[in-house]
Amino acid sequence: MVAGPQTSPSLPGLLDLVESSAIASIRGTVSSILALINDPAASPNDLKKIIEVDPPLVAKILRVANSSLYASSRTISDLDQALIWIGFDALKEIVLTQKMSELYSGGKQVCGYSRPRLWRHSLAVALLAKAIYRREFGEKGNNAYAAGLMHDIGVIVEDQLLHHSFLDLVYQTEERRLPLTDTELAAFGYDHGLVGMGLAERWNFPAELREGIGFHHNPEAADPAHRDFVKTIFIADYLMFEQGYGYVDMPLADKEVVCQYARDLGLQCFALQAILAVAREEIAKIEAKGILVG
Amino acid sequence: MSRDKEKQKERVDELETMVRHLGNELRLTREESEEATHKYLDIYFNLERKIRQRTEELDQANMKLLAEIEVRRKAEAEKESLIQELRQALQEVKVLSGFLPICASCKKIRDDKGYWNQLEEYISKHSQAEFSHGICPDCSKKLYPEIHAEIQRRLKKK
Ligand SMILES: [Fe+2]
Ligand SMILES: [Fe+2]
Repeated sequence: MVAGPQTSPSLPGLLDLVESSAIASIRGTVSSILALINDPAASPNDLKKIIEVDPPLVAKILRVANSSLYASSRTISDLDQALIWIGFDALKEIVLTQKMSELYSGGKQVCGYSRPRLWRHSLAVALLAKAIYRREFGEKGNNAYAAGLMHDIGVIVEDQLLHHSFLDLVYQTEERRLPLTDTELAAFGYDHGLVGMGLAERWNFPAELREGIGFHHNPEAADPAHRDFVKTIFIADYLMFEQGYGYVDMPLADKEVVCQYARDLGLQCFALQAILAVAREEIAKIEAKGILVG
Repeated sequence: MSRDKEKQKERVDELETMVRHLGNELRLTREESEEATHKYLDIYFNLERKIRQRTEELDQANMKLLAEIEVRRKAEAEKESLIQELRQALQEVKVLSGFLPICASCKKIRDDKGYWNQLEEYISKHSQAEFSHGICPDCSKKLYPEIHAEIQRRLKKK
């Protein structure tokens, strides 16, 4: 039975619940990292200050740094060495990724949904969005990676805080072959995009990221200044679902919508295919190293 | 366009895209490594600047200390010479205020080393007093009777 709007909290109510839940534990680190990614004057020392206060995070980062993914002949035993051998940008991404992954452990599989699957989906979208920025637009795409990683943060909020209602929703979504956003709106009165955007606002995420999270299912509603960015996230999300990196078995939007957005961004079909191949290779590598779930 | 030619054009487009993608990737990687180098140089120079600044501060503090020591040393030297002067003065006061052995006939004074000094020599050596020589009426009568008589006559006339 899907919980009706009258039994689930309002959006502000849900966001209040977030602040007193385990989800709030990532707030400091994640907000600081996002600010750092968007500050061209940030120094490696700023990054170190963010990480050092969190010993389990340091341990995780060193584990990733020493994995063969960042193959180095030497053992990386502290953050300074990690900064030198992995690089500032890569380390920022690792920190964000490891911190975010804390939200996606536990839970159980319901139909096609599980937290690890949602995490795998998020990571795949992050890698593809970033690859599109790098290869097609010739930009670093640090924000695209961050937005990809966090675009479905609203889903994990619903899973963690509205647990039973949410799992009912997953069941309904798959049973009735509806898009998740439709069943969310019917049951809660908001979808995971709005939840994520509300969180992004409360946690002072940069505007581009807030828009990317909030409108990844309807880029046309985004602020025109960030619309191309949001369309890129939409495309990455869509293509990864199509490639088997989804987290719920639900019908996809009309393919023509993606093609239109791709044309808007000047992306050719085979260019996207080539980038997709690169991103898939990268995900496969990460999965093989067993460092997908933190 | 024939089907073959169309295929060929597609292939060329694909290759061009791949070249463009790899070009972008290469440029970004290069930029990133340059940026990383800059960041490390920044850290390095910042550290060096801090060390230099600290060294300068220490140097300045050191100089201040040295200057202060010099001032103190001068003050001490001044004090010492003052004490020396005072000691000397005290010695002289002692010398002049004690018993002076004086010859009953020629009035020479015997010093602490046993030499007989002219009275005026001894006094001027051991005090601030200076001598201005003149001659008293009794001595002038004894030594120069004519000049004395003449002076007496002139004084009476007046
Ligand atoms: Fe979504
Ligand atoms: Fe998604």
